[in-house]
Amino acid sequence: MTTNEHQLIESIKNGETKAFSILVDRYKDLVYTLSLRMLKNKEEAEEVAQDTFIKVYKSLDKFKGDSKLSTWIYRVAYNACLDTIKRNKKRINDVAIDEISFNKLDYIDNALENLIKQERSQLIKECIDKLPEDSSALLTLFYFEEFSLEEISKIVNIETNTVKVKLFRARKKLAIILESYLQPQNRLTYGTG
Amino acid sequence: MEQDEKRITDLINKLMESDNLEKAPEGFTHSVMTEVEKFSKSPSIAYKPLIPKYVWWLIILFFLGSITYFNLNRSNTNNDSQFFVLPEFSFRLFDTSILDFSAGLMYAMVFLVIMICVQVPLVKQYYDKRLAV
Repeated sequence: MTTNEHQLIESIKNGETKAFSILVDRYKDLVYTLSLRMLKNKEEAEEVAQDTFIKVYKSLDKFKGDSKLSTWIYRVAYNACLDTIKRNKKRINDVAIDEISFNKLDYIDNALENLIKQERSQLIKECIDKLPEDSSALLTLFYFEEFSLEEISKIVNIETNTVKVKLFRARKKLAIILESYLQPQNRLTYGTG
Repeated sequence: MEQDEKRITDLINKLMESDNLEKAPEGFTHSVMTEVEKFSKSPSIAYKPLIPKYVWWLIILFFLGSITYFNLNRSNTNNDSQFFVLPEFSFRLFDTSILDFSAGLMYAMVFLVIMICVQVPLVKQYYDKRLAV
């Protein structure tokens, strides 16, 4: 934990609620992105992201500072999303991991080269939206916050080696979905469960 | 196989470079802060337990003392069957009706209290574990 974060936490504990808004501003985008990618619904994601910060505020006394503040906040957000998914019994069907050949990977690579940045960004969003919640959470945490596997394992509460395996599977699933998007004639439909 | 894995990893790494964070909705911080202000605690109203720690220790000591005392008495009198019999309670309401508690009800109440005493720490431990890192 940085000195700056330590001072911020101390200020919040001393009753300076304004200091908490700095913390919210710092982490709100990633908490919202994580929630949106797990829940696949904007309204639910906003509600869960807000609840996350309220829980964080209420439980700040329990934060011992052994890990990064961000790790703790994302763990609260991740658990809140899982609770919502469990409550709504809404799950995304898993993607079957078929073998993906070099030819297909070459095809995906070339097709991506032909897309402009904006199109590519939109395509990624659509593909991630088709991933199961645990896969999209792992990719979001790994690529946006650049967390190490150990830090991700603390957030999602699974072993580091399992995170590594799941992360690779998530990449493979994304490649399979991507291929189906880039080849409209083979487009697969991954409905919600 | 390893080559395949590396190829997929490289491809997704390249792809994810084009991805960007979603922006939290307009007024998100304000909504959170409005909720937070509702139960914000100033140092002047900081949490203070109703029953101080030393009173809890006195209660525990009294409880342990009572158990020890009854155990010693029990060994002196050598009357095992009497020890587990709970005292009978009866309340006189308005001097007209008598409310008696059956032994069964008494045992049920004692077990309920024991169950709650066990469950409260378990539930607390569960939530502490979820919030702690």
